[in-house]
Amino acid sequence: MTIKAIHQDGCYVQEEGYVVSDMNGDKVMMSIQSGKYYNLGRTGGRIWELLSNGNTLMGIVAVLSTEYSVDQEKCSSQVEQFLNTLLKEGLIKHKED
Amino acid sequence: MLTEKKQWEAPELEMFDISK
Repeated sequence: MTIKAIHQDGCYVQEEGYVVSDMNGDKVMMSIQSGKYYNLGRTGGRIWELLSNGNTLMGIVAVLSTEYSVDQEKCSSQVEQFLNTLLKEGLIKHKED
Repeated sequence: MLTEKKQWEAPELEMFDISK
């Protein structure tokens, strides 16, 4: 069994096929196929937007640290954990060059 | 012009199984 984990320098992009909407500032999405509904929250929603054309962990953290009052180390650690969850759920995929 | 930074909230993914 392969455990999926993001690579620090890997580029990731949104997986297609989800119905995405904004609900009071939270980003919510639904998969008709799997019957699952997801709430990414506000920060998660911003990360989702940054993954629209493909992005790296470093790239996402660089943008977020200019928009939010958070230190880079904490931001990087929490974003990495979040990306791992998205990858495990099949919401994002590794972007091939 | 400097814009004020937003308060950081740790990103979390909530999941629900909508499957009647």
